[in-house]
Amino acid sequence: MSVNLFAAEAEGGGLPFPPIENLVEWPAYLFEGTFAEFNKIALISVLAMAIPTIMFLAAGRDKVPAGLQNIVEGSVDFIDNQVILPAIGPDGFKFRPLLLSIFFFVFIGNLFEVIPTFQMPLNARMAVPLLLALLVLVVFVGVGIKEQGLGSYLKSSLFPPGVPAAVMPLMFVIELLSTFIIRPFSLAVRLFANMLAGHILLVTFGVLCIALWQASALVVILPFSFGMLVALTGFEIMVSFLQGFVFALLTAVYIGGAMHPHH
Amino acid sequence: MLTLFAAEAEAVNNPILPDPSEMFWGGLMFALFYVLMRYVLLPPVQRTMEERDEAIRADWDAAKDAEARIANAGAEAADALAPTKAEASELIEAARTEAEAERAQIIGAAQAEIDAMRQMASSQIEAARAEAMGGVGAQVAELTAAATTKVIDRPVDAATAQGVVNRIMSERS
Amino acid sequence: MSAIASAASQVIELAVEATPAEQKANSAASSAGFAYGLAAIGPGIGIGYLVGQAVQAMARQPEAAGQVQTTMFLGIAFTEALALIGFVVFILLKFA
Repeated sequence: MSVNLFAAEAEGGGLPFPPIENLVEWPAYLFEGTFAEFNKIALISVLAMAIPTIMFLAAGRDKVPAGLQNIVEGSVDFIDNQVILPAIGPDGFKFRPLLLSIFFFVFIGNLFEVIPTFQMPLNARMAVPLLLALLVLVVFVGVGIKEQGLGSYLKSSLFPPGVPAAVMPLMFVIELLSTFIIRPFSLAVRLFANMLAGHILLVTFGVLCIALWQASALVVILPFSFGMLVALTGFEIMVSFLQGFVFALLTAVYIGGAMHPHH
Repeated sequence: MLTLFAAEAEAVNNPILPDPSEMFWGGLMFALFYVLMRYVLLPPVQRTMEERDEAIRADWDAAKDAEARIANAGAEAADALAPTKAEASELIEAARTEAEAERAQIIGAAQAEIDAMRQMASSQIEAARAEAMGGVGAQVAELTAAATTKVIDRPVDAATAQGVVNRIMSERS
Repeated sequence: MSAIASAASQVIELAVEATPAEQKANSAASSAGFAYGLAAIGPGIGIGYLVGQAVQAMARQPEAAGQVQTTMFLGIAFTEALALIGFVVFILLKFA
């Protein structure tokens, strides 16, 4: 009698990798068919709003911080020292609420990638990254117009100083594209693609683990595959944090560029 | 076979394109979060942090003040101590000279006593020696006279022998 | 080069007996892997060089480590965008 190495092979062979719609699209819990369909992504966005809110409300107000208060004040300090001061400068502290809420919304939304029963990053759907990127576009253009005036903002962002007149038209096109189109696009795509890639990576190793569990002889590889899954889970926690940080940092850099031209 | 993937897609959508309902919920929640952060969540945290910074700065200033006061008090104490110190050193100096004088006196007295004793001892020794010499000289002279008489068979004057012996002895000693 | 040529010949072989829609799907599926693989080369080299230089800078001037780190993350974010666009193209070719 023949030994069947891959149990799955009996059902058509190879890994039974699910189609991508099954990984990122979720059925509606409420209001199905309306514009406000409430599915898992909407639930995660509610939680990404609620968890930091509860954290901030529950944190103590002591002279000597402890526990949750440490986390909250540490995050405020982190945004101050790692994002606002290097990217904008001391006059950027008025953007603290915006940058802090971007950081927390993105980070907590991403973190659901590794939280059991959810295991879906909020930002692996294009909706939130796109909205945030458009918000950032509106904010930095608005700051530029408010700080420098419409004419001089357009002049400083579209016609960089110190460029010979011959290449000015080329520079105009490049700067127009890079400032008003590529910036928000890359901001959204960076977050979205990072989280989608991480999600697919975790799914791949999860599917591999299940397939190896069902295989008869190849089960000896299972520990390695499972160890990889655990390591990648840790890596994805780091990526979640880094994407939140980078999104806030880039927002601050763009705002800083609009506030202080010629840097 | 795998029931992990709950969503059974009804229609194949492009996975890149945003879903309007998700945009609605995401946008609503982010706007709510931003408003909360701006007006409810951040101000108390920031106030606490600012109060702590102020308290730390105040404590720091107080510590600096205390340090300066300690330095002042040290200088004042040194000033107050200066006359006392001078007096003390004067006293010490006086005591030292007194002690010095006393010591010199004691040493002088002892020296004098020693000198006197030495004087006495040497005079006694001198006397004893003179006495002993005198005795020895007489005996030697007598023996010499007797011996010479025997040798030359003629009587020798005791006074002459005494003179010779005395001369020799005084030459030897 | 021969790998690409053989892959292309496979695509052509498939295309011979496929309807136009299948033909398009097949070529898209086989070029999806190339799209991501090629998009990963440049950013891979770039990020490696960038982080190496940042580590060198931090080792030479540890007091400027915070500033260097922030700039490094910015540089990584910009460089990485290219690879991620490649990944998006992969998803588009494969699934859309």
